[in-house]
Amino acid sequence: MTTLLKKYKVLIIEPSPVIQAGLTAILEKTSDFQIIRCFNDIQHFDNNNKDIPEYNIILINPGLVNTYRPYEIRNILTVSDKTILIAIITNYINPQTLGSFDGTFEIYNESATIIQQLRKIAGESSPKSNRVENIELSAREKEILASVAKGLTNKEIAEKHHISIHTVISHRKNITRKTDIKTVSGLTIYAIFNNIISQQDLHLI
Amino acid sequence: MNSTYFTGKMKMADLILKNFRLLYILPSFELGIGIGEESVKQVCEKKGISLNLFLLVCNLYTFNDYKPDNNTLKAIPLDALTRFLKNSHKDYLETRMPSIITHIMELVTSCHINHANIFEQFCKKYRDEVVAHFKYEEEIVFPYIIRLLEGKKSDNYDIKQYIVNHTDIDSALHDLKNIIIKYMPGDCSYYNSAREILIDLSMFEDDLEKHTLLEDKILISLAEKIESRI
Repeated sequence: MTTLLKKYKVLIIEPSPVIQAGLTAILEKTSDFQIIRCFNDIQHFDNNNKDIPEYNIILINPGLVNTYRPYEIRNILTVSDKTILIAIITNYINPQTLGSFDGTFEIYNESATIIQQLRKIAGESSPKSNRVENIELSAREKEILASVAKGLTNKEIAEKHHISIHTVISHRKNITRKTDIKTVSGLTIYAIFNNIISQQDLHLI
Repeated sequence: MNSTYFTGKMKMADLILKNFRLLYILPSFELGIGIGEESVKQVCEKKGISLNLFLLVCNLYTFNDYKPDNNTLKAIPLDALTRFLKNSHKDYLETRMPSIITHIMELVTSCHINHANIFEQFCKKYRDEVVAHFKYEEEIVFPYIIRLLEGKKSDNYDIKQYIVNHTDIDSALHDLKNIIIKYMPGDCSYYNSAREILIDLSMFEDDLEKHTLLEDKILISLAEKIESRI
């Protein structure tokens, strides 16, 4: 089987070059996993997001998110709902946080075990088209929606939330897909009805 | 061509019986009802309406798979088509939109008093967008096409600019329907008025879609051909 036809196209977001190289070596030998690219951190991934070829799995070190509180990985990583997110476990991570990933695996296991675990997670999570898509807006999307509803431009939103314009556009696409509302005035009404912003917020602009 | 499409020999009344929504386009041809047993051809001749244009519009508004062939298209008088489009704009702005907006405001004020002004703003903004959209067509595009028919081009305008500038006025209607369906109170007392609004909105949305089709696929592509020959 040529690499082009491999079923799972994988990105690795992991700071350790040893772990990156190790996972790549193990997975490249399989018939179904192909490593598309490795990143050292989320910032690096975000900055290059638009140039990355098609992928459907991200293996990510959950310790990369710099917070002591539990978090939802999908609020932090801007990816489509169809992407399978798997945590690379190298040390203790809050179980609540791990719950927001599609699966986890430990690097201390044998290669065969790791491959089996990854196949199991990827297999259970697909076919993605049959999975009911998550239509709830994430906390991050709600923040972006509030700014859109207040009439801010993409550039202003990017500056306000310290993210790239590309990330803003990607959030907006997801918001429109989930709500089925395209226009700014429509999104404003949506935001008010769902208490994401108040009418006072609109008068302050 | 499918034999079920409308032809000039059919009775005018039968067209409307087959598709009651043609009632919305009759005024734009300055036609009404009370047409007796007359055929489409007879009515058109009497009223000085282009039969080809009338059949094209009726077929387009009735059959989703209708695609006019080249001979049909060649027979469409573009000046009459721009007149029809202009009359439709007038009907949308003066009759259909005000009625929809009034009903929305009644519904919103009775069930969501706090949200009334946000809807009012939405409707006002939408109306402004539609007015600007129509104004651009009536003041720039249609006169340019009429001049093309006289064999004159323009130094500072061409059809390409229309294609770039033609704004989307359908999405907001879809959004509005979506919001009413999902977020209006489930309380039965509002159901009937919400239903009327949704039906009106859906019909208006469909008509606008056909209207855009007439502009983009017929008027503009014919004008582009004339432009390239001058």
